[in-house]
Amino acid sequence: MARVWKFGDSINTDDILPGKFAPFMVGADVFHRYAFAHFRPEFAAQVKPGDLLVGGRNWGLGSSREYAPKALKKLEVGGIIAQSYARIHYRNLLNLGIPAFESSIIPELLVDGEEVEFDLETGRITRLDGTILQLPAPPEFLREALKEGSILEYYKKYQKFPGES
Amino acid sequence: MSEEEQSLFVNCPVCAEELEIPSEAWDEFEEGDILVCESCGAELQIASLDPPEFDLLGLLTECPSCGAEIELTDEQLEENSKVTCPDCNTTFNVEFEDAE
Repeated sequence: MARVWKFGDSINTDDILPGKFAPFMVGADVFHRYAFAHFRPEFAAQVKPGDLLVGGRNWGLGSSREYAPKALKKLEVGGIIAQSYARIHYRNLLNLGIPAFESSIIPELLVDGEEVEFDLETGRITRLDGTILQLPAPPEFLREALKEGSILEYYKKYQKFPGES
Repeated sequence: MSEEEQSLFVNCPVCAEELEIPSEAWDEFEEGDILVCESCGAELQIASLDPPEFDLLGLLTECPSCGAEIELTDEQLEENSKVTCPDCNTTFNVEFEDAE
């Protein structure tokens, strides 16, 4: 089961990882422990691999610092569902292999702390009452990349992007 | 059994895109469940399973000027009226192709 961590609108990259906890400040091996350190101090200690982050509009605005999504990757967040994304952050999420889904309704329906089944392959969320919330499945190129961990890892391994011949 | 026989094809009522849903996955759906069209992003609630019918819950569109995403209201969907971007104030028409 994945826990839903619900956030609001305009979560910026400093909310996700405050600049003073950047890898070059606290160490590349521990910086992820400070994810949402100010905004939601219990997050990093309690989040489990596969958990879902749910946001409102303009998730990831602000600095394009890559170490913000990298902290989420190190915490093995299962995916993010937001109403919209800041575009550089969105690209960083995909590069790092964090599935990012867009929906205006589903973030409003999901409740902070609820447990859901989340099938990344199909984009399907099943709530405890059996209700299904069907997101579009990640495109083939992303699923291919995720098998290697991320688009970057895929490129390092194959010297090409997923889907390229 | 071929892959086609194992899938159900339903048309998005907004963009008319044919959405392929594995029969197994469709069987798990109940009325009231929600799915998002992978083509246009329309958020659809299942009103009937057989035949498949959907209620439109919402639709995001992109401002042609600044790229901001705007959620359209029912009125805007029904009347095909002008939409003003809340970010940059650009006014534009949203046009849809009727699936029927």
